[in-house]
Parts: sequence; C-alpha cells; structure tokens
Amino acid sequence: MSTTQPTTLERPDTEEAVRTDRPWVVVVWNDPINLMSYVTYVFQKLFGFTREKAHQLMLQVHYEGKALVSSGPREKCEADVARLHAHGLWATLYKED
Amino acid sequence: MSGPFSPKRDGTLEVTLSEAELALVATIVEQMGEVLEAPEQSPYTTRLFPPAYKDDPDAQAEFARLMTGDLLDGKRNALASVAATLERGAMKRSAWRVRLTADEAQDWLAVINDARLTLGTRLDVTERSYDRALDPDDPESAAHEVFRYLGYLEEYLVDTLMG
Repeated sequence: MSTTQPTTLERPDTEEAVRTDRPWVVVVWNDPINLMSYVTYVFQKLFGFTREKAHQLMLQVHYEGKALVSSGPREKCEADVARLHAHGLWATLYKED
Repeated sequence: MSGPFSPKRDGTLEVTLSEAELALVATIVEQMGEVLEAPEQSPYTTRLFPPAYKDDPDAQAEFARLMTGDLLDGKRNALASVAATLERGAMKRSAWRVRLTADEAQDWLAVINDARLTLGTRLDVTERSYDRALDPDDPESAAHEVFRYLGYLEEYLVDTLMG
C-alpha cells in the first residue's frame, strides 16, 4: 500500500468507533463489482462518516475482505443492513460472542 | 468538452450524453425493468437481494419476508424516476441534456449501480477483469464494453456528488 496516506494512524480510531460491547454487528463484505469510490460514498451517506473514515473502512473491506460498519440493537442492525442492500453493498449482521 | 455530469449553481445536476450514450442508458433502464418484473427468475438478481444472515436460515427467511418488498419497491421507484428524466431531456447544442434534482441524481446512481451489479454478475467479473484488454472475439465483448461504460459513468457521478 502507498505510504503517502496516513492509513495506519486512522485505523485504530475506526475500529474503536464501531467496536462496542453491544451484541449485534453489521459487516460489509468485499465484492469485485462495486467501485471503491462508490463504497466510500455510501458509507458517508448512510452513516455520516467523514470522508477520511469512510475511505479507511472501504480500504479495510477491499484489502481485508470485510469491515464492521455499525453495531447496536438487532433492529437497528437489520435496518442498517437493509439500507446497505438498497445501495447494492453486500452486508450481513450477526450476534457478537 | 465537459463530462456527463456537471453540477449547476441552483443545486441541480446537468446530464450531457451523446445520442449513442442516451440509447444505451435507455436500453439499460428497459432491461433492468424486465429483471425487476421477474427477479425470482433471474440467477443474476441474487446479487441485488443478498442475504442478511449467513448462517441462520430462519432469521434470513424472516428478514426477507419483512424487507424484500421495500427493497424491490425502492428499485422500481428509482427506475421509474430515471425513465421520467429520460423522457424529460432533450437535444440541445448537439447533445442530449437533462437537469436532475438531488433525489433524481441518487436514482441515477442507484440504477447505474444495480445495472453494474447485474451485468457484472452475469459476466462473472472478478478483480482481475479490470486489467484485462477487451477481446473482440469474445461473444460477450459488447456486454463487457457496456459494463466498462457503466463503470465510467458511475465513477464520474460519484466524483461529482462527492464534490
């Protein structure tokens, strides 16, 4: 990965923001069709993330295969998954151990 | 020569397409309409209606029962909105033009993205497909070209919306 962007500095902050003690989490999976810029745009639009944070999450999806994008009660996570599906992203939810 | 999408001072987005591009977009709208009319009959639309639960068939069945109708309605509405903008546009200064509201721009984005997902799934697109040169002898070469055009259009639209 290019060293021109402060990716490693941003990543712990991103993880902190989405990982909480709550029981349900939403995961977005990598797919070969959605454009990287589009995924970043959807994260900003749906979750109000800054462009930088949305970009970091998109890179995590792209390079690690998935990223946690939201967490909370089951109903909220199902609604987030439905909104992600409406935007063509491959999202699932599960109960955290 | 400006690109296909250009933001205007009044908050609208001007679309500028050649006649050939307009014909292509109109065909895609028509084909996506056919796909949505019988989504259960198309092997490619599982990508448009993905599962929310990977390992829990009961929870997935309940999720699909509650959510699929709204998801399908949203896709139909976006398609109808784009079709209406195609009707509204006109040839002006040797190109086809129309002004989109912010909501209509989102509908264009949704339809283009769904078309890429559907076509990309049919063509079995992988991450490596993007580096490969188009093969004119491939019977699907025209479809690959459409897929690339949609990628260009979407990239441009996202860039414009992000500002």
